[in-house]
Amino acid sequence: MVGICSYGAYVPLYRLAREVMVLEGKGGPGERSVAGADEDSLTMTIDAILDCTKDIDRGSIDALFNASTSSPFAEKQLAAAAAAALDFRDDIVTADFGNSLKAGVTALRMAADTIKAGSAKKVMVSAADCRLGTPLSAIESNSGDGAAALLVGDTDVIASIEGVYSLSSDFTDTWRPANDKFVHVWSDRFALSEGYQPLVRSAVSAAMKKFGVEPAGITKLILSAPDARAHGAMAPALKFDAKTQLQYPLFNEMGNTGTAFPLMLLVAALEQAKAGDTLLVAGYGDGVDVMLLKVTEQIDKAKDRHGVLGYLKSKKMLPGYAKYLRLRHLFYVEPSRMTPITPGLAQLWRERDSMYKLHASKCKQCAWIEFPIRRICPKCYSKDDYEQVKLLDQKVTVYSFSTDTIPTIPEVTDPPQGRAIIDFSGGARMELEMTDFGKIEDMKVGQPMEMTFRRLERQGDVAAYAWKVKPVR
Amino acid sequence: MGNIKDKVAIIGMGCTQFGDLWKMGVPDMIIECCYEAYKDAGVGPKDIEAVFVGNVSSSMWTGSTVTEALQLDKIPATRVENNCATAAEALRVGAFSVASGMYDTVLCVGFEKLKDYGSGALEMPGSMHPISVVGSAPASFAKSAVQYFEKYKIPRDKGKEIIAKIAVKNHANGALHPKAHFRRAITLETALNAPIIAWPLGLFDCCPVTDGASAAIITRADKAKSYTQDYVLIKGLGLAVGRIDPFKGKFRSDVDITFWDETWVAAQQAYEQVGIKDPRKEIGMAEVHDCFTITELIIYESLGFCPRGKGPEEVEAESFTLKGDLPINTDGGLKSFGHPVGASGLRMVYELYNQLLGRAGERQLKNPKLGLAHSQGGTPGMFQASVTIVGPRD
Repeated sequence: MVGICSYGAYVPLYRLAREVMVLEGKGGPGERSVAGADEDSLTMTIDAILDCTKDIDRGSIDALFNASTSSPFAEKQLAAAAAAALDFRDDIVTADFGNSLKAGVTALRMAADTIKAGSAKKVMVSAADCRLGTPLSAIESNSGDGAAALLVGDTDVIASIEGVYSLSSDFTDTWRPANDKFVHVWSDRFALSEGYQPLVRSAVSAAMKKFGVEPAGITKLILSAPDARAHGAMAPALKFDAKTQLQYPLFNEMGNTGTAFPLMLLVAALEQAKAGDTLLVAGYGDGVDVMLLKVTEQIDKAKDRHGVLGYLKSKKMLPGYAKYLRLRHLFYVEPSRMTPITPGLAQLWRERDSMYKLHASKCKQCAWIEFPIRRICPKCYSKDDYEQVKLLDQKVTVYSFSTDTIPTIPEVTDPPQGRAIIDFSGGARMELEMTDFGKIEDMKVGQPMEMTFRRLERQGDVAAYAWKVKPVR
Repeated sequence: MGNIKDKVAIIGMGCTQFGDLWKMGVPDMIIECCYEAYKDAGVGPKDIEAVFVGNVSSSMWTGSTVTEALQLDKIPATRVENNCATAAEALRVGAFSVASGMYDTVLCVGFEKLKDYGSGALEMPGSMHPISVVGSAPASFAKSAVQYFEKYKIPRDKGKEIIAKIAVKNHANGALHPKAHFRRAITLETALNAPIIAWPLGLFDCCPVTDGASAAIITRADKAKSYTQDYVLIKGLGLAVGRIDPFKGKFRSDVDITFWDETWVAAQQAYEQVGIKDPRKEIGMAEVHDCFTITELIIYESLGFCPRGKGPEEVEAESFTLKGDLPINTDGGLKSFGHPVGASGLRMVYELYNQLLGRAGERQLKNPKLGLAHSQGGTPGMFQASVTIVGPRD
């Protein structure tokens, strides 16, 4: 039986009330999620996979399929970068799925096909998006930032994949040209009446016919949609009861998270599912991918997750629209006059076991543990006689912390930055950047923290990422 | 290990005005402090046999920056560097070159031109780790404050007040020195209400970014009298360099950021050379590395001036003010006099020298006995700590 073995999600800490997303007057209802200044599709992917693999050996995963339309790179794979930071094995296949909002569900289908074909036992599927609409546009207001991760396999399945159906279409309603940071949209009415509505209706109907199910046999219909109105109108059109059968779309709490959206709604459904539930998922964009899932008796084994609903509960409201622009790097910031620090790719590559995989050294003679990996033991002076130990899944507490309004880097989008010295439960201590820390005065020495992989703000065109620490959400 | 005590004399010193020296270039600064030192020692360019140059922030400055500025022709000139202990290092290496018998008369000069960078904070060297740069100096020391307050169960508000009193003391002292960067006494309220730089440290918990240069001319102790009657003797030199580079995210679980281990060790080295058993009683004055107020608080304990955790009581008792039993930073320290990194260690000795020779004006102590200068480069986790003890001739 092929299906989903584990799920996880990530919603950034920040929310923006839509009522402030206007020049004057009052904007739309609810709020949208907003990625922090140091977050993007890569970092959110990693956070979602961390949530999904809380109690799972990441070394058992044979493939990583990652979907996003908002990769920070046009050339350079997010899946490979995520696999490195998450310390996956290196004899795995990694692939990025992009360029379409349905890419998340497509990746999930391809993962199921890969396992059915016998070429992998476990495939991690992730999707993350951090899309930009032009300032004050409807897309900007309707969108949210977030990520989902689903582990697909053929043992310990919590939701079996009962059927898949795909439809391809060249219909263009939203698009983002290469070299443009903003998503554009053709006329809304055209997009809905000739695109979303007929395509989803026809694909879901054809899929149910293929699967041999009726609307009454589906517990939850999980639909991506450009906005709340389009979403609400689709259920009756498909003869589903919008009140009981439609998975709540979180437009007022999060917004449309692009490729991640249908998968995040699927995660939210799994968080509340019980054995025997049937879930029908449809991802839309350049066509439709439909998938039928049946929840198994094992569903309760995967409940210890932040998930979508858990992460939505922990939030910090942004004080205004200007802060949103600043976090999304849409605001001109006076550059510091300090000498720019350009990340050295060769140095990072040499130190990748520590800097990316978060390995410490443990002396084979005296068991002293130190991060980063140290060749000479400071206690017994053994040389090159250590084993690498993994810090990523250890418990973390904060030894001390501060803010920093005078960063040593040229430009900071979201001052003040945070700094911390942390202790890992296995014995290593590390000094690093702290993020998403809320009010510094409320922090306490010894409080629990968690690791998060974030972008460093650096000048130049070389992207630099590193592990940071944040208070447990 | 040998002993430097009474082998080397400081026969002349000079120091520029510290501050925003927009009108002075590096050569101007070097000329100003070195010609003051020449005049003080009664020597000229042709008497200088070797130069040791301290500078931190720019690899464009070398030993030849000083030979060029002073037109010293084809003599040994070496740039040394030890982070914030750089000027102390120039004096230390110079002293050893004299004590070895190699040179009779040596110029030690330290300088830093920070304001030209156009940044309000200390420019960090470009060779730092490209990924795990973990923050500014204030942020590094702020974490010591948080942990110190936690360890000794001091409420954070109370802790802020204690360290603010150190800033108030140093500003009061600096107001009395004509060459200090900030010659303004401040109130406790001013210090406490200042903007936050790196929580919990506010503006007045942090030393400024300053331009300045300072110089010493040293010679063999037995030759000093042939130049001048006014000189002081080097009594002890300690230096301890740590072994973790916190700039790369490295840290060690046995590092205690509420105590400066390297400073303790450097002080013990110097105390042993001088024969000091009770530094609190035997040291008459100290210039210490108050890069941040919390740094000075922990220095009291790390130099053995008071037991661990007792620094706050000493602050409340005003033990280290000009009227206290052990005046500390009588010229205002880094906080008020300013901190041109490569010059500060020699600026400290300049104050001790002037106190010992009775030239300290309004700040003059009655009987300063031995003076201690302490510099500390790096950040909590790894320091280059230097202790220089000087005393009166005879």
